[in-house]
Amino acid sequence: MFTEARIAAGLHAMMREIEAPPVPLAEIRRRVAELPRERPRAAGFYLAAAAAAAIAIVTLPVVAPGFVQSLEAQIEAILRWTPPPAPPASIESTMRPHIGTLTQAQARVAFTIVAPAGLPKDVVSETIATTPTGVYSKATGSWSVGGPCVRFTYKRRGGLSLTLLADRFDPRTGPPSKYIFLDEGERNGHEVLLRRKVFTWRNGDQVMSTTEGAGFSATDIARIRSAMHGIPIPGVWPPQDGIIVKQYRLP
Amino acid sequence: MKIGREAVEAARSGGDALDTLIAELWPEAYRLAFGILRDRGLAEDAAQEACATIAARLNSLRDADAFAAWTCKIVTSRALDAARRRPIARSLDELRTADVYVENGDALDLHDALGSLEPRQRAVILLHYYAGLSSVEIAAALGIAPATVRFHLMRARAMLRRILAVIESAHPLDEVLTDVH
Repeated sequence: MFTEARIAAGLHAMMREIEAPPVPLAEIRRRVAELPRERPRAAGFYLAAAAAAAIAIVTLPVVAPGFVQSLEAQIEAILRWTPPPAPPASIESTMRPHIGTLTQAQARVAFTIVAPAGLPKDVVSETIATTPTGVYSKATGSWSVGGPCVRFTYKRRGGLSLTLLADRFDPRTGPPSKYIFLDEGERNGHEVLLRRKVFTWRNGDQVMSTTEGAGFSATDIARIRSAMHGIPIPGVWPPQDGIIVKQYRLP
Repeated sequence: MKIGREAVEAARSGGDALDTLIAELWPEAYRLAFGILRDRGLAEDAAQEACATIAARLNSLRDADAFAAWTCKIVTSRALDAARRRPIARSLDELRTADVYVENGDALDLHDALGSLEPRQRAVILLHYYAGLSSVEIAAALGIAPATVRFHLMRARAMLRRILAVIESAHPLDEVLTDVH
C-alpha cells in the first residue's frame, strides 16, 4: 500500500537520483543580460526629501548588480540625490493602508486634517486611506515606522485618477522637492524618466502635496490650495535632505 | 531547496555571493524541472531560464525566508512554459533507461507512475511531496486557485495510487522478498 509517507519518501529518493549537469554560470549570466528590465521595486513608494512631506521620487532598478549594470547610478546622477537604502521588510509590512471615512482618518492621525476643497466638478471621491509612513534617520542610518499620513484619492472623467497626500508637518524633513521623477521604463533603447512638478502647501500642522499630471493641471491644484486657504511652500531643486527622509506607500 | 537566509541576503549585492547562490540552487532547480519535464534538454533549458530570472529578480524578493517557495514557483513556471512549447512524447522504458538511474524500488515505481501524468499534475505532486509547499503556495506557483490545487492533488494522488497498485502487482518477486524480510 502506498501511503502518503511512502509516496513522499519514494519521491525524495527518485529526485535524489536525478543527476544535475554542472552549473552553467556563463550561460545563466548571458540569459540574465537578455532579460527585460524589471520594473522598479520603489515604484509603489514616494520617498520624500521634504520639509512638508513634499516629494522626491526615486525609482531604482532591482536587477542584481554583478550580472547586469544597473541604472541606479545614472538615475541618481540625474536626480542629484542619493536615496536612503530600502527599508527592511519589517517596516514595509507595517505600511498597510486603512480605508475609512474622514472621521476615522482623523482618529488615526496626530494632526488636524483639512480636507481638500475646490476640487474640479467632475471629481468623485474614491477612498480616504491612512497609512503609516517609513522614516529614515540619516543620523542613525536606520528606518522606523512614522505616524500615518492620509491619502485622498479621486476619480475623474476619462478614467483619470488623482491623489492628494496629507501628513503632519515635520521640519526635520527639510524643504520640499520641486519635482518628482517617475521611471517610465525603456523606450527605443533609452530609459525614460518623467518629471512632474510637486505642489505643497500648509494648513496649520497639516502639509498637503500633490503633483501635476494627467489627473490634475497646475491650475486645478492652484484652485484647490486657494479654496483650502493653504500657505504654499516653495519646492527646491536639487532636493535638500533634512535629518530624516520619509517614505509613503502608494496604492 | 535548503538555502539559508544569510546566503540570500548576501547574494542581493551580486558578485561572488550571487554566483555561489546560483551554484547551490542549480542542482535542485534542474531536478525539479526534470521531474516535471522528463527531458534532459528541456529541463536544462528551463532550469537555466529559471536561475537567470532568480538572479535578475532577487532584489524584488522582499522576504528572504520565502526564497525556497519563490524559486520553486519560478522553476515550475519555466518548466511548464517549456512543456507547453514542446510537448514530450517518449516511452517510459526510454525515460527509465536514458534519463535517470533509480535504485530504490518505490522510487522506480513512482518514476514510472509519474511518467503517465501530465506535466502540470507532476508539478503539483512534486511541489507538494518533494518541495513541501502548501496548497496556497502551489496555487501561487501555478497561478490557480488553492481549491483547484487541492482538486488536482486529489486526482493526481488517486491516479498515482492506481498506477502504483498495478505496478506493484506486476512485481510478485518484490512481494515475496517483502514477506521474507
